[in-house]
Amino acid sequence: MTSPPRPAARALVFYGVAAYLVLGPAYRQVLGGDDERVRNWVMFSNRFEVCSAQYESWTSDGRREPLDRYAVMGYVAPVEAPTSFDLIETETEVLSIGRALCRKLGGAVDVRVWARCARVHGTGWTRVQRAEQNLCLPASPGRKP
Amino acid sequence: MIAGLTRIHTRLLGFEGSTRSVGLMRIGLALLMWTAYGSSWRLFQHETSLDLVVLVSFWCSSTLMLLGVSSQLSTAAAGLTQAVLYHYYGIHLDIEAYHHHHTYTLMVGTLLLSMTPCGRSFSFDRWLDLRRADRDGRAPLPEFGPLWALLLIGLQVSCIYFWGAYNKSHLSWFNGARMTHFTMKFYLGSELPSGTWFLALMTISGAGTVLLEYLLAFGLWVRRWQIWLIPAGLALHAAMYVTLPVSTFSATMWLLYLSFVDPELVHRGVDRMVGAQPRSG
Repeated sequence: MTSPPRPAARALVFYGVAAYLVLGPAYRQVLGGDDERVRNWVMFSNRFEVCSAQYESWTSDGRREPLDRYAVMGYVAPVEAPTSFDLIETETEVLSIGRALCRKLGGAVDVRVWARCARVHGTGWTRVQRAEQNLCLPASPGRKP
Repeated sequence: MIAGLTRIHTRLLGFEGSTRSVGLMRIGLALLMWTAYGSSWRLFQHETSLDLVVLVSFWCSSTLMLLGVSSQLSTAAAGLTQAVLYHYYGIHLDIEAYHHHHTYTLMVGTLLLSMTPCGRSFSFDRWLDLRRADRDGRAPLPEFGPLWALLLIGLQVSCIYFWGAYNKSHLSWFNGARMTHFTMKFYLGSELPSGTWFLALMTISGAGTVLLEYLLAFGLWVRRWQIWLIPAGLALHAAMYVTLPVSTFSATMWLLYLSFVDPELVHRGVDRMVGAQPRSG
């Protein structure tokens, strides 16, 4: 199965390439280098703009009811909803959908939301809303949009 | 110590075997080149004279590589053409489609393959040699040769797994969050199932992916583990291909798995499939 190694050139190529394959990615992944000519292996590491959100309807006596945002907006099934409604990408969209729910429900309603958006590191989530504000109230200058 | 290192050195650089593995790889990589680049490099799709040179080089080298005409040379030319696509169009001109991990894997696989006698099997070169051998009354060149570069292809696969797993070694992969992001982005939208089964599924698949990648990085070299790890790795890439936009990456990795399989096993497998007599010796 084996035969004696050939000239030094072969050894040079073999060990040179092997060292580059093994250690090359460390330049960017460990040492933080930014020369794109050296390959790093960071597949599936980009941050997706995705948020999960649970909307609630709060009553004056403190009861909280989960809101089916699809039903409120009149979508019989999620596939009927536009992509921008189905996949919420940012906190701004979380709040904008909340206000759309307020308008659809009408009257003196109190709609709040628990929401978190994706991040790559740490726990993978950033909590962006904790049901602390009634989205149906007009936005005041001091409040987040 | 020195004797041990010398023995390893001799085994690595003197590694030889049947050339059928590399012959199959040559055909597969040429087809993958067409899949990855073919639709962007048709004859009418050029704006500069460099485009035209790359275009002609791409089609000529990959076609000759596929057919096995001057196989090592055409494979080297195909690899260098991909290097131009990756480094000039991808990195220098910053065209994202050309500097992805899947185009890099294809390029490195092709370049390393050109350092093997990849035309000794399943090629026009082989057919020509058989005809000449018949005419001259000599034995044809054996389907056998130095395969040290095949070890480098395997090493590249291992490094992809190791550094890929290293990059995922943080909490968000082990608590299911990253898998949840993918599932939301491509399938569920922002409405997540409420049951604990969903979190469990995301956690198991996220942590399992990272652990499997670490295991594949080293375990694929262990012959007695291959019977489990090769199907597990193939299944991982199949799952990625079906569920995520990974382009030619899965198919390329499948093909490069041939570098871990004993070349003699591949040779005998082909013999068995075509009903040929196993070769003696």
